Amino acid sequence: MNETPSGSPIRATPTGGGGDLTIVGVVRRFGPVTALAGIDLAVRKGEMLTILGPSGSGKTTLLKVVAGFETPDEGDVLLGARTVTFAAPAKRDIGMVFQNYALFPHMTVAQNIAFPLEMRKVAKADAAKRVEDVLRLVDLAGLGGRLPRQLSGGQQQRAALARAIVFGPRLLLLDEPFGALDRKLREQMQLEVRRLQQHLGLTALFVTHDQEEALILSDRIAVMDQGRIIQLGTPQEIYRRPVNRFVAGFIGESNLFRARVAGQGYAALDGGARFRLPADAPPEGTEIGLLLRPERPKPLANGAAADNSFAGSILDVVYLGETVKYRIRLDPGIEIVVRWPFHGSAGSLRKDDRVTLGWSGEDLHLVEWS
Amino acid sequence: MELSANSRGRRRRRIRPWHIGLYVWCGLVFLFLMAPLIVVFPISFSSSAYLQFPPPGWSLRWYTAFIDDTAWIDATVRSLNVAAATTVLSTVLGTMLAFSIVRGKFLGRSMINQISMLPLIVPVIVYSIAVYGLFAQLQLIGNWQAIVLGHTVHAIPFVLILVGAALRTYDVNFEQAAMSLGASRLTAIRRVTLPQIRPALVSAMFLAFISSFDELVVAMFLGGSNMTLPKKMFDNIINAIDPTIAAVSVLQIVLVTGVLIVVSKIGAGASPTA
Repeated sequence: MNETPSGSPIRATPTGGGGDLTIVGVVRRFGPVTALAGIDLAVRKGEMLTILGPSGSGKTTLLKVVAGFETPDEGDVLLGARTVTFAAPAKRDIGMVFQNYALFPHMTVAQNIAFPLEMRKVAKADAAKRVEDVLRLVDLAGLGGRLPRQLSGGQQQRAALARAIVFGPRLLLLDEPFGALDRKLREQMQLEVRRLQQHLGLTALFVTHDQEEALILSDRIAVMDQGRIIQLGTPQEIYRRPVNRFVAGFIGESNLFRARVAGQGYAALDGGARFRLPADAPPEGTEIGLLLRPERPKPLANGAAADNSFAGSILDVVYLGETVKYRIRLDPGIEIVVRWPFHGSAGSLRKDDRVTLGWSGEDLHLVEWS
Repeated sequence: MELSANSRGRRRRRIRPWHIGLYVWCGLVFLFLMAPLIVVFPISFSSSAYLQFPPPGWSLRWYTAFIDDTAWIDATVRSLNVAAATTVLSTVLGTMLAFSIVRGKFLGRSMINQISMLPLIVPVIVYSIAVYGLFAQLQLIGNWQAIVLGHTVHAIPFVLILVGAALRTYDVNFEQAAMSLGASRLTAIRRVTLPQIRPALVSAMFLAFISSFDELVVAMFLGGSNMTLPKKMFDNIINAIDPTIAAVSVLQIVLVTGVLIVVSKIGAGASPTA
């Protein structure tokens, strides 16, 4: 359990073995709908694990089961070695940051943050000092006397975070906490939350539908769909080696082709084109999905060669600042999306220009089609 | 001076004919609603022994008559007690009922909601006779507590409507947040939910208070010799009309206005508690 997958930036916090939060075979049904169809997951101490999935994938239900607002029909939830499946939310020692922050509007920021301490019967003077400390930690020093509505969105978020960590919780739950912030502030807060989580060595479970956010923030990502965890791995693993079409399509931008392995290291696409495959291709006749990330194909200069090279014409050009996105129709009738740095050789390409693309067999990643 | 003249000039708008019509109409409605007060106030200060308008002279004798008559004072105190007890009882019960109807997931929830609203629909006289029959069997007639019970049933719908509406729009996340931070459900409701729906609670309490304080029919049936203020006023009008009734009315109006002012002060939105 303690081994670290390659490339994972997990902090070397000593663990007692096993997960800090362990979810074992959790099933939750709502009438005929199965929201959680058997979830097994272990979050390591000091790790930020992200549950990533589209709406309706069951990620919010899973979070509620962990927080104690839902009880699973089957399975168990463990914090450390303690089973908390049926424990009241108040008895779990979990700090939670809600989607809309849920700061109590009738209390000042300081009163909000002192609330969990008050519930734990911490002495007034001690509590006041801890509130001061945590306010400084989240960069809200001096704002304790304000009401939540007198704070900006980012400050409210910090206050909510402060309230969730002030009592030194066993686990931090984050339920899509960045949704209400504008893009720039969101990125800043993401980095800050990440810094704080690592600084304090907090074990954190983070729920989001935003794949970009998941890639930025997580030590590991669990991709959920239809009440199941489809893939669990580091952001790099998930991005580079998605296990199936769903994950490939959900994380990052992708070109996905349905193909059949045709022998001699080639795959035949539906339209008749043939792609050179990576070395570890499955046996002939297998139906597979081919994933090609948009940054992989490169424009080929005249005469240059590549495993796969196709000429095509540019359908659309979208400027994204530092990169440019092109939609290109390759001559065999396949449409693909590519993304290149603006200051590369591609900067001057326009709509309807002809271009030759090349990529190696190793640039393709094979996924299950079904 | 110049500045204010300027700003007044800027604020001046063209007055259209239908505007004038609207002002006149509103003025008439206002007059119609206020007319009773305009008559009652002067009469209460009348020196005449009859309900005469305009009063021939001024005096405070009818206020003195009210204060010196223990029957009036008794009725007033009893009415205040009944209204206060009704307010507390109906607010507590109505709020609990609202919680169970809005949050609960049990069978027959909407039926309980309908039944709780019935006191608003059933004619008061029918309700009074029914309660009279029941309380007579239980030998409760003549107790002021009986009136409280009768009034509470009548006040609960107001509480249920107001608090229920507030709870329906209330974000349960606040309560869940409180619980995740270590509060029990009850503590979460007391510390987080109730303070946030306070405007609705205060309005509900006000309506419950008024509905009891003004109520005549139920009190007449259940009160026996224990007269409430409306019953005493009713008897007074039937037996001998003198301006005491005007003085009592004025005091009643002043009291209710006072309560209303307090209500609008403490019922306005959320503010820091500590």
